[in-house]
Amino acid sequence: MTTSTMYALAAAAVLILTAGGGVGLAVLFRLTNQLVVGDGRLPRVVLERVVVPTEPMALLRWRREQDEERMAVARRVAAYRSGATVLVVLAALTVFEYVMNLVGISVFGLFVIALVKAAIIVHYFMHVATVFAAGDGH
Amino acid sequence: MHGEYRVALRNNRLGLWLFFLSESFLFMGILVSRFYLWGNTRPELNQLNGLLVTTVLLLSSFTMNRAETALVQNDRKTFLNCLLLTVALGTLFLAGVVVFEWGGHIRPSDGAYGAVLFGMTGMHALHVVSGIVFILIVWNNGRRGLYSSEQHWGVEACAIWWHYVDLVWVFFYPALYLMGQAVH
Repeated sequence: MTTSTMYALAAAAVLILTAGGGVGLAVLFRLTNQLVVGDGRLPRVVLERVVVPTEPMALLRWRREQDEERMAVARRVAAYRSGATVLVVLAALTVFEYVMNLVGISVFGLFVIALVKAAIIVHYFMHVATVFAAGDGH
Repeated sequence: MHGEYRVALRNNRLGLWLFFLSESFLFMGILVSRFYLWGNTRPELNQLNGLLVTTVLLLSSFTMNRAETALVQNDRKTFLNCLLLTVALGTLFLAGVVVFEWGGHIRPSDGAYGAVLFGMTGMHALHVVSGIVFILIVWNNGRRGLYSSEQHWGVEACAIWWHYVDLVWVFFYPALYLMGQAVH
C-alpha cells in the first residue's frame, strides 16, 4: 500500500469517525435532554394517523380532550424541569466547592456553600413548606 | 382529599420533621467530634472518589425527586423506574465509600483519624442502607398500585428520608474531604 493511499484511508477513517461520532453524540444528547428536561420518556415516532371527527359535537369533545392532554403534558414537563434545574444548581455548587477548595477557600467559606446547598435541598426536594401547609400535596 | 387523611398527613409530616430534628443532633455531634479531634487537618483521602460519590448521591436525590413528581403527575412507569434507578445509585454510592474509602490506607484503629472517618462514613452508610430498603418497600407497594397521585404519604416520606441522607452528606463531604490541611 502506498503512502498516499494510506493517507487517503486515514483521512476517510477520521472523517467517518468524526461524522459518526458527531451524529452519535447528537442522538445521545437529544435522548438525554429528553429524559432530563423532557417529559421523562424517550421520543418515539408516532405512525398512527389522527382521525379528526367531523360531527360538530364530537369535534368539540375531541378538541377538549386534545387540550386537556396537552395541558397535562405541559404540567408534567414543568414539574420535571424544576427538578432538573435544582440538580444543575446543586451540581454547579458542588463543583464550585471543589474548585474553591483547590484555590484555598477558608473553612467558613466551605461551610457557607454547604449551607446554601442544604437550604436548596430542604426547600425544593424536602418541601419543608408543606409541614406548615393545610395538608394537600406539594 | 378526605379530611381524615389531611389531618393524618399533617401529623405525619410534623412527626417526620421532628424525627429529623432528633437525627440532626446525632449527626451534628459526629460533625463536632470531627472538628474537635481533627482540628484544621484531615487525612489524605482520594479526592476524585469523594467528588464521584457526592455526584452519585446528588443524582440519586434527583431521581428520587423525579419518582415522587412522576407519581403526582400520574406517570406510574417513570415513578417505578426512577425508584429503581435511585436504588442503583444509592448502591453505587455505598460501593464507592465501602470499597474505596474503607479499603484505603486508613483503618478504624488508626487513632482519631480512623475513628472519625469510619464513624462518620459508617453512620451515614447505615442511613443509606435503610433508605435503600425503604425505597424497595415503596417500589413494591407502588408496583401493587397502593399509591395514588393524591394519597402517597409512604412515597413522600421515603423521598424526604432519602433527601435527608443527601443533606447530611452535603456537610460530611467538605468536612471529610475538603476542610483543613491533608496529613499523610
